[in-house]
Formats: sequence, C-alpha cells, structure tokens
Amino acid sequence: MRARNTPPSLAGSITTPVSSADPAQILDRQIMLGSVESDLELLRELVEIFFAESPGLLSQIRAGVMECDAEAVERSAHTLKGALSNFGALRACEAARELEIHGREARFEDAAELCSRLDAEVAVACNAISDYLREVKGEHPPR
Amino acid sequence: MNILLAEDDKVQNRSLEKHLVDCGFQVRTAFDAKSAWDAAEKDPPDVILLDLQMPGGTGLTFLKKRNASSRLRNVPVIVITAMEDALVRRMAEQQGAQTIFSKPVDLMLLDVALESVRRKLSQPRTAR
Repeated sequence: MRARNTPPSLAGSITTPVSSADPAQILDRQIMLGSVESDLELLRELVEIFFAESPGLLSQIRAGVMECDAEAVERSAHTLKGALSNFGALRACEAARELEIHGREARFEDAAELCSRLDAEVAVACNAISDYLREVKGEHPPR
Repeated sequence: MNILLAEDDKVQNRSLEKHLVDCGFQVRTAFDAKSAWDAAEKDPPDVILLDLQMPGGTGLTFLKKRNASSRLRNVPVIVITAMEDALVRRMAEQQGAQTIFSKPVDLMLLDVALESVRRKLSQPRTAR
C-alpha cells in the first residue's frame, strides 16, 4: 500500500496567472497516483465522478455568492476543495480554500472574482487530468 | 470488521471505500449526516470513519449524539476532514474522536489506526 502525500503549502503561489503556472501546481501527479495507489482504473472512475459533480458544486458556490449565502459558499467550496485534493490539483484546491474561508467569514466583497478564478483553475485542472489519462491510456503502472 | 464510511465528497468516499474493501473490510457508505446516523443506529458498525462537514449536520453533532447513545457510545470514530480549524479538531478530540486525519487521507496511517481498532476489538472486553 502507498501512503498519500499531504499537498505542500501554496502560500503566495495562487496569485500567479493560470497561463504561467507551474504544471506541478496545476496537477501534482504524485499526489494523484498516491491517492489511488496507482490504480488507473480507480482513477478513471474517480475522474468520472468528479467531472459529474464539480459543475454542480461550482454552480452552488456561485449561487451562494450571488445570494450572499455564506453557509452555502463555505459548504460547497469545502466539498470541492476535498475532491480536488484527491487529484493533487493544488492551485484549484487553494482557490476553493480561499472561497471556503470567505464563506466562513461571510465576506463577499471580492467573492465573485474569486469564483471566476476558481472556475478557471478547475477547468485547467480538469484539462490536465484529461491529458494525463490520455497519456496513460491502456497503461497499467506498477503498484 | 464492519466500517461505516460517512463522507459527502463522492470522490473521497469512493476512493476510501475501494481501499477499505481491498483491505478486506466490510464497508457501508453514507453521504450525509442523517443517513450516516440512521445507518449507525440501525446496525452499529465496529468503527465509523466520519467527515466533519457534511450536509444535514456536522461531525461534531454526530459525535455528541454518539456519546449520548447507549448503542453507539463505544463505537470508535476516526475523523477525516479538510477543515483546518484547530479549535474544531480539538473539539472533535474532546468529543471522543479516536484519530483525526486530514484530506487527502494518508492510507498507511489510516491502516495503522484501523489495525489498532481491530486489536482492541479482538481483546476480551475486560481488557479493553
């Protein structure tokens, strides 16, 4: 069995534009593979679940921001953060964490902007995950 | 050993379920606080893996209810959480959480915690 790694701190790095971000911060493959113990079949299954669930969570966060519903923002951002952490999507995870904190503190002044950033980070992370799955299509990495 | 896995994040829930089943445990899953409580009360598991933040109630509320329940108060609870608030974690410990893991869960440490529970269960009741 392989242990999962705790994502490293992202303090400060989230301000870097998505386009110039370190690929390892977009998707830490070591964390992603560790979370499924290198089981690619399980990874594909989890990605399917995530791709089905994440649009709804993003919508809930945005609706919560529009309605100034702090609890909804905190709860949905927290769930999304947990899901993203499974894939080592560090930048997206950090963006979700920031919104979670905004929700907890009922701060909405820049929440809409954060929502847009989270949408972008999640989209980039999803693309990186899809790219990885295409790379390893048909492969079975050793456990 | 029977495990109740209470986690609303479907990705994390499925990931942990797969690992636990592969390890030979019997696993029931719940995705919100109410169904987790109902499942635990109906058929008490040997151990509960509990997310602290779920729809329908917090993990802390779940722990308080467990402590007040004659059927469940001796069921060990391992908390899994993405919450960073030290106070919440401290409160979970005070409410009897055996171990608290951050997400993503370190599977090796989880295995150690579950082995500890399994050993306690295999001891005669008076020795626990």
